[in-house]
Amino acid sequence: MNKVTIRHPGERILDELGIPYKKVNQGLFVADGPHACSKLIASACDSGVKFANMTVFDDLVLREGGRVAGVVINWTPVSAMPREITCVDPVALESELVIDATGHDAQVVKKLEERGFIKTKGFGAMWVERSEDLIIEHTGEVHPGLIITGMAVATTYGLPRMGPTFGAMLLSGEVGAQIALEKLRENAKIK
Amino acid sequence: MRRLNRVFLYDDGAARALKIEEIAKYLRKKLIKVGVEVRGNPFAFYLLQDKVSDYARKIASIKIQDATKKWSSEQEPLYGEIEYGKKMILGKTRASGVLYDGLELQRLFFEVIPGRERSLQFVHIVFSNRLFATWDEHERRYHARVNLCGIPSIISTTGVVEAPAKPRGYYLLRQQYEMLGKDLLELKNSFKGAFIDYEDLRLTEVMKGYAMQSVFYSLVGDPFCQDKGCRLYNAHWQEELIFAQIESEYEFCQRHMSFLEELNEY
Repeated sequence: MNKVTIRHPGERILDELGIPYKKVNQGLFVADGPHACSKLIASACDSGVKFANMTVFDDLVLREGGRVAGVVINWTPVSAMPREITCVDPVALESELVIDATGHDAQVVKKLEERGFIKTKGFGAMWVERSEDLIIEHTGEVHPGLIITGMAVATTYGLPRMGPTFGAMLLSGEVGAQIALEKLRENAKIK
Repeated sequence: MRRLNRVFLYDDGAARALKIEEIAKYLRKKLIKVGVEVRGNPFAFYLLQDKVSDYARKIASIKIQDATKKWSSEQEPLYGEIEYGKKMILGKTRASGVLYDGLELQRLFFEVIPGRERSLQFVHIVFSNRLFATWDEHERRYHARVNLCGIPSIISTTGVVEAPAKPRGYYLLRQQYEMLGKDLLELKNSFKGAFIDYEDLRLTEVMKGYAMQSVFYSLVGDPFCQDKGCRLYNAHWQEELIFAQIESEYEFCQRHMSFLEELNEY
């Protein structure tokens, strides 16, 4: 199977989710990619996540002061086929928060940039040792209503890329989720 | 030669392996008649709590995004960059790797030093884990630096690993390791001792020499020496750095030794 490498302390998440892995060196672990990804998806579903399969992110829903209040999606085939036969209106999904976890593409942040609300910096050159910590430290709300995690953080802030290692991806997701919970609690108090 | 009044040492999130008290002790031995004081984090020492956000913004705005483009004051930092700046100032993170314009960073540290201490009689040395670089007009690009002398002098514990060049073979192998996702620790082990690494046990010893470069900048206006065995040698290679700071049979060349003797006789 294809392998994924995880640096310490990312293996904690593997333990929590019961993903098998091997220690190859001090602070470096290896897991089977498909096995790790399947367990991550399954545990997200177990926690209540709903996937909108075969859909593509199209645009943002913006509210007062440019606050991000949801996303606009459409069916994937619509973007791939001629307009004459696929004139299907997109669907707006409104939400209190949006989390951009689209990796290097940072699709949601880029859409915000297209609309003049933010200026992304593009990810920096590879620096494995430093990039993982920096991505976790920069994970958070980048614009009202929009949280970024994973490599989208590197693209937004111009942080170094890291190559094929995934510890920070897991931990950044966890930090992003904690920040989202805090924001939702704050919003609930205000209401 | 100027007379020195006092040396102040600061810790701006420097590497954990750096023992600043040991450097202070070393400086007290070398500069018998000059007081040496350890002051901790420069922002925490001088800044009022309500100024933290201002300085976090200022620091975030001096970040270098592209080493081939000179820093511009028009750079607008993003919210997340300011938040990271705050965490760094408050000592809540030691995650380093962001590159800053060295002269601008030095200017920001200068701003927080009280006016009465902004003189070459006072040697302010900030040990930081921030990586900084200076712009080279001829090559039109930034070069990472270990230290930048002035008021204050800033010394980077990240720069000491990244700025002086490692052995050529290391870089060639490193490219392969990174592309294949191989363990960099294994590569480092095969070059063990050939360069100063993060949390290297030799770090404090090396930094003593860089601290002395800051002292000599204040004393005679020139922090460097041409002698490869003198601690004031401006090393561009890790091999040179390790020789000047650790392996050389003497600490200072005759000329710089005599400066120190003269200073201690006052």
